[in-house]
Amino acid sequence: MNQVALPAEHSKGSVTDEALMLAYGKGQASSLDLLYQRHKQVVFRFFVKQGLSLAVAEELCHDTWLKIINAREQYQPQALFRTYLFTIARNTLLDHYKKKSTQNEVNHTNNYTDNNSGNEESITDVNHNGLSEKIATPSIYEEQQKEQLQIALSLNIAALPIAQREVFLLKQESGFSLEQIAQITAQHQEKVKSSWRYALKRLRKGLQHYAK
Amino acid sequence: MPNKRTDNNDRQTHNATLQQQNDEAFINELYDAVSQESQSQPSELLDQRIINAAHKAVNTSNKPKGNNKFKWYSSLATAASLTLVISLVVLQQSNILPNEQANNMLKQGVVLQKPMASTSDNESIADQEVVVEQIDYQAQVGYSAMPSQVENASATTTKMSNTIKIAAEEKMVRATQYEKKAQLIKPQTAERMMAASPMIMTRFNKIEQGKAQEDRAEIIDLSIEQLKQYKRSNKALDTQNKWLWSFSSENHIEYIIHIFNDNHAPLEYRLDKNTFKVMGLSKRDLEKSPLNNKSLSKIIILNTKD
Repeated sequence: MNQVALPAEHSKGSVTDEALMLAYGKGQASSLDLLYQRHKQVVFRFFVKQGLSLAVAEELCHDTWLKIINAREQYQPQALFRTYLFTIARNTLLDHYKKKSTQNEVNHTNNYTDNNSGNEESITDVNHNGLSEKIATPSIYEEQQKEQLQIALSLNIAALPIAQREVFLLKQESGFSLEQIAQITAQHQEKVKSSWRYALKRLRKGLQHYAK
Repeated sequence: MPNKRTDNNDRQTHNATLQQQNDEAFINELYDAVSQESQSQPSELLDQRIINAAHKAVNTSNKPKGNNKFKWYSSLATAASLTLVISLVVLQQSNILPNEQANNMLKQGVVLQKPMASTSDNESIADQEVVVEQIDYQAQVGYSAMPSQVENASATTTKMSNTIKIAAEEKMVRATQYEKKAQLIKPQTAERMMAASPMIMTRFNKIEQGKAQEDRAEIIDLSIEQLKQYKRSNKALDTQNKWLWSFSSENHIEYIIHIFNDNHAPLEYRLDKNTFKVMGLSKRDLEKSPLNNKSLSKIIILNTKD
């Protein structure tokens, strides 16, 4: 058996992702359990925030982790495991877009992108009007406002163009640096910067009513 | 001027950076405002699927290679067994169906038919006796009308009946011997025939019928007139030049005879049993007999209408 002994810190959770992945590649199945527990939520959120349904997000999540599992013996720790993981997640997402001929997400995106300010304003108006019409006690009002903000945030993120959306999500949700995002998306860093800037600008415009 | 432009660019860049920082702060503020608890997580089912897939993949790849070897051998053994079974089945089927086997079965069928022929021989003997009785009866009936002719006829028929009875007795002895032999052969041949499928038997019957039809096509039907013509012609010939005939075979509807003309080229004729009766069949009949009036008395015309 090709069992690999992990360092003593394993139980403490201080073993790096790369070491865990290498251990899994050499036959230690429990290493992937730990890796999965560490990253399952960020990967799942990455898909959910794309505007996909939960079922599709779970399916893509499953595919991503299966790819990791199947490629365990070929893994080389040339970069952070998170970078490797999100590169695979992004490719899985792109494959999904290629395969998908039904235009649910695309239609959804087209309605709110391509500098169509009218559409953006309509989202904002709907959100804001929906919020202002509610009359409730302060505590309930806060909860509702939080809920509405979350929905509006998700809608506005999903309305971003794909390039901007993935850069925004990788930075804001997953905590990657612009350099790492450039590595994941195989793009020039300046283009990633530009996407990030435009994404912020667009989101601020769409969510300006929520400014305190 | 260039300094002014540079200052403007720096100011724009600075403003853009400030703007971006403001935007980032704004988004971060919004993110902070949104409760992290409400953020969706993958379902436990998905977690279980992925963890199971991870463990299964590792367990599969860690299995000893001996299993693979075993799989290889087992698949080879299965393939070899299948090939052997299929070839045995094919061989068995090909052993049932070939023509040689069919011919053998056909021969066995002929052997089986011989006892039946002996039975028909018994019937023919009985028929012969009936014929003799008929002739005797005709002789008795004609006695009152033409006494002298009837006397001659009755004397002739008495001689004939004696001859026929002797031949019939010999025939009975031969038939009994044949039946004994057939009883010995019959179980074996019957088992073999039963082993053959109905399809094969049908095929044999068809072959037999086809052969019989071919044989029938080559044989000429002998008419009463033709027989009488032969008799008259032969009567005029010398003893040495007389035409000869010999009995060839018989079945339940006809006799087959050969007639040898003066050039001794045999002509095969078929005698319908409804019209003719060949009397005193014995080994002697297989030899050539002169086709004269007396000898042809062995061939009796039963139905003069034809």
